[in-house]
Amino acid sequence: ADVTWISGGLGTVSSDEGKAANKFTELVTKGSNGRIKINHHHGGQLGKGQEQMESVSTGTQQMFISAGSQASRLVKSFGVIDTAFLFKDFDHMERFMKSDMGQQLNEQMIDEFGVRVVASNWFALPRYLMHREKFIETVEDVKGVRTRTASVPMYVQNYENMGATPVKIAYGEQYLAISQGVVDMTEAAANRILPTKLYEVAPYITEADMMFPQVSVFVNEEAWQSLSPEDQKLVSDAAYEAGVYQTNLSQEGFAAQKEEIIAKGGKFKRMPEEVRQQFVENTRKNIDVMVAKGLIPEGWFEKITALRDSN
Amino acid sequence: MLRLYGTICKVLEKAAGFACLALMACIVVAMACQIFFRYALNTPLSYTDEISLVSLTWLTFIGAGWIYRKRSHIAVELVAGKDNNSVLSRSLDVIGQIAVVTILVILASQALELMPRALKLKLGTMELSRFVMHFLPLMIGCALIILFAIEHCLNSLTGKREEDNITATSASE
Amino acid sequence: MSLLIILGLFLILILIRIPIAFAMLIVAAIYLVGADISLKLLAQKVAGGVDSFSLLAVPLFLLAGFLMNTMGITDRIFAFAGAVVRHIPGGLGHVNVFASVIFAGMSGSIIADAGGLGTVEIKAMRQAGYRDRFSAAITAASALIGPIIPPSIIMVIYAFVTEVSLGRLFVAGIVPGLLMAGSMMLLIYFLAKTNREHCPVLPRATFKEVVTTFYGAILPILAPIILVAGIMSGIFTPTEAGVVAVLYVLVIGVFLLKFRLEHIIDATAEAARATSATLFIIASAAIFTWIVSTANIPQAFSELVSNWVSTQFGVFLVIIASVLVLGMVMEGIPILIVFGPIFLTIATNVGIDPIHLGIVFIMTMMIGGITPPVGITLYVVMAIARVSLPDFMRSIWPFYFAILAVIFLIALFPSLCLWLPNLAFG
Ligand code: NA
Ligand code: NA
Repeated sequence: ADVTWISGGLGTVSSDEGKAANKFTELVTKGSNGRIKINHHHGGQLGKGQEQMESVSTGTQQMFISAGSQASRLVKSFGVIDTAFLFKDFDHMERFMKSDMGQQLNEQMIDEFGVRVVASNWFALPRYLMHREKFIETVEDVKGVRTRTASVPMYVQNYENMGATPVKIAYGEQYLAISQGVVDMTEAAANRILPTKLYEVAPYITEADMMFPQVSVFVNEEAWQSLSPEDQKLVSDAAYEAGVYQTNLSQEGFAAQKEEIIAKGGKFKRMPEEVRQQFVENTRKNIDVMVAKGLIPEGWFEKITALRDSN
Repeated sequence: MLRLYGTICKVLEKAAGFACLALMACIVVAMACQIFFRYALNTPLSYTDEISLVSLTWLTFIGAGWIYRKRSHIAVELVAGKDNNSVLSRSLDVIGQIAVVTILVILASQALELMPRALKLKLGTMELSRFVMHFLPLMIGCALIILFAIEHCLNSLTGKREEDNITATSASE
Repeated sequence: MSLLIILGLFLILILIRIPIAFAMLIVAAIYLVGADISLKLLAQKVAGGVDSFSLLAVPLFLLAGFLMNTMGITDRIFAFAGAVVRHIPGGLGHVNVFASVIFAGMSGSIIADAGGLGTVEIKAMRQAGYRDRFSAAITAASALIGPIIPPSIIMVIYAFVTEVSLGRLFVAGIVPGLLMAGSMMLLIYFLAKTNREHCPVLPRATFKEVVTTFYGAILPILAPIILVAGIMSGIFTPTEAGVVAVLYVLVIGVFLLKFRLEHIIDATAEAARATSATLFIIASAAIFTWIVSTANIPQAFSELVSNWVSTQFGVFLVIIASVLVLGMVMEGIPILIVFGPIFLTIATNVGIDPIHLGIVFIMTMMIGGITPPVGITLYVVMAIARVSLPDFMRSIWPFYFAILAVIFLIALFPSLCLWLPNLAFG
C-alpha cells in the first residue's frame, strides 16, 4: 500500500460501530485497489477517547471513528450536540451539522487542532432513560432523582436542567451502582441496552429520545491533505456509505434486541412529545447559565430550534 | 560541591515526600466527602472524583521522583542483599543511570513540546487543562528523577556508599 | 521479529537492574523510533497512563493495609487465623493462607495483602523457624486470592471491558477463591507431612484462646462484611469501598487501640511509596497496549486460534497458555484491556459463558503476578522477605501447579463458578 493509516475506535468488533468501521476499511481498500490501507483497531486498544482525539491532532494516529461529541474534547462548542431534548430526530441533527454553525465548528477544529470531520452520518439509535422502578411520564418524575452521569460537563448540565440530581459514576461501576441503588436512573443509547445488560437493573425504559448519538470519522488534517483530491473523495464517499450501512444495521438490529429485552423483563414506554417539549422549556430557562459556562454559544439554542422542522 | 549537590537532593526529596503525603490525604478526604455528601446529605458533590483523580496522577509522578532517590522503584534483584559496591556493580549502575536520564530527557522534552496544545485542552467538569492534570506532574517527576539519577551516578563513580536502600514496602517492618 | 528483539533488550535492561518502569519506557521509545512514530505518543500515553477512576482503589486499599499494619490490626487477624488452623501440619503456612482469605473480603488489591498482611506473616514465620523463601512463596501465592474473592478491582475492569454483569462476576469468584485457598493448604500439608519443608508444630489453641483472639479480631473480621454490605446496599461503589476501609481502620485505631499520629503518617508515607512504585509501572506500560495493538497481534492471534481449535476445553487451554506467557512480560490490567475482548470473541464462538471465561482468565492472570520478569506481587514479597529471585523460584513453583489445578478444574466444570451467581440472580 502507498498509504497506511492507523485508525482507532472505542466500540467492540461486534458492535454496530465496529462492523461499520470494518465495512469502511474494506470499501477504501477495494476502491483504491489496495493503494490505501486503513488499519482499524477496535475497542479502545489505542486509548481512551481523549487520548485518541489528541493522537489524531498530533498526527501519531491518522483516524478516529467515534461519537461525534468526542470533538468537544478539542472544540468545546461541539458538545452542543449532546444537549438533551434539543434535537427532534436524526434529520434535525444532520441539518445542524450541514448548517453554518456545524461548518463553523468543523473549520475551527481544523484550524486550531488539525482535525477534520470526514463523515458524521453514522447514526446509532436515540438515547433512552432507564429507571429502576418507574417510567418517566411527566417532568415531575425526574425531580431529585439520583441519576448516573459521565464526567462530561454537558451531561451534568442536562440533568440539572431536567431537575434531576446528577451523580458521577464511572462507566465500569454503572451496573452495580444502579442495581444497589447508589443511583436510580441512567440513560443509554437504545442499541447499548442489551449488550450492557442494564435492563437487568433498570428495567423501566422510557423511549425519551433524549439525544441522538452519531459516530463521526475524524482524520488528521496533514494526512488528509497528503491524499490526492480523487483519493479524498474516495475516502469520504466510503465513510458516507459505511455510515448508511451502520444506520441501517442499528435500526434493523434493534427490533430483535427489543424483543429479547422484553422477554428478559425489560419494559418499554414512549415519552409523549408534549413531555419532551416541557423538558425543552426547562432547558430554555437555563440557557443563560449554559451560555455563561461556555456549553452553548450565544443564540445557538434558538437557531438550532429553528432548524427543527425546516427542510 | 558534591556535598552541596547532595544536600539539594536531600531537600528536594523531603519536599517531594511532603507533597506525596498531602496528595494521599487529599485523595482520602475527597473520596470520603464524596460518599458522605451523596449518601448522608443527598447532595452529590461534582468535583470530588476529579480532585482525587488529579491527585492520583500527581502522586504517581511526584512519588516516582521521590522514591527514586532511595532506589525504591521495583527492579529485578537477582540476588537480594548482596554487596552492591563491587566495581562491576557500580559500572552497571552508572550505565543504568545514564540510560534512565536519557529516556527521561526525551520524555520531558516531548511533554514540553506538547505543552501549548495541552494547555488548550480542558478536561472533565472542572475544566483543568490537560497540562496541569498530566504533563506538569510528569515533567516535575522527570526532573526529580534526573537530579537523583545524576546523584546516584556521582556516588557510584566516587565509590560513596548511599544510605541503606529501602524498598517500596519494607520500611514499615 | 522486531518485537522479539525488543523483548530481548527489555530482558537485558532489567537484568542490569534498571527498574522495570524505566526499562519499559526505553524499549518503547526504541520501538517507536524504529517504526517511525513520533515520540510524542510516548509522552502522551505515559502522562495520561493512570487517569482512571478504578485505579484510585490502589492507594486506598494500600493505605488501609498499611494502617492495619502499623496499628496492629493485622496482628489480630493473624492471631485469630493462628488460633484456628496453626495445629494442622504445615502450621503457620495454613495461617498465612487463612488470613489472606479473611483479608480478601476487604481488599481488592493484591499489593495490599502482600505488603500489609505479608509483612506480619513473614515476620511471624521467620521467628517460628520457617525458611524465608517458603514463607515468601506462601505469602505471594495466597495474596492472589484477594482479587478472586470479592470485592475485586480487577473484576470491575474485566466487567467494564467485556460488558458482563459485575454483580454476577463478583459472586462467581467466591467458590473459586475458596478452592484456591484449599489447594494451597493441601499443598502445604503435603510439603509438611513429607518433610520437604520444616514446619514447626504449634500447639492446638484452647477454646478460650480461639474465643479471645476472635474477640480481639472481631472488628477487622467484620470489615469485609461492612464493605460488602455497604456495596450491596448502595451506600458506596466498589472503588469507594477503599476509602471506607481506610476510615474504618482509622476509627478502630482511634477508639480502641493506642495509636499515635506517627502511625498514621508512617502508613501514609508507605502507601504513597508503594502507590507510586506500582502506578508508575502502569503509566509506563500504557504505551505497550498501543504497540501490541498496532502490531496487529490481537487479530493474528484470534485468526490462528479459530483456525485450529474448536472445543471449549481446547479454547480454554489456548487462553490459559497465552495468559501465562503474557503474564510474564505484561502487567495484569494491560493484558485484560488488550486481550479481554479478543478472548471473549474466541470463547463465545464456542459457547463459553463470559462469566466463566472471566473467572478462568483472571485466575490465570494472577499467576502472572508471581512470575518473573514482570510480576509486582513477586517483587513486593521479595522485598519484604529479603529473598533472592532464584531462591524464591525454588519455593514458589509448586504453588503454580496448585493454582493451575484449580484453574483446570473450573475450566472443566463451569458450575463451580456459575452455580452461585445463578442461584443469587436466577
Ligand atoms: Na497470606
Ligand atoms: Na509476570
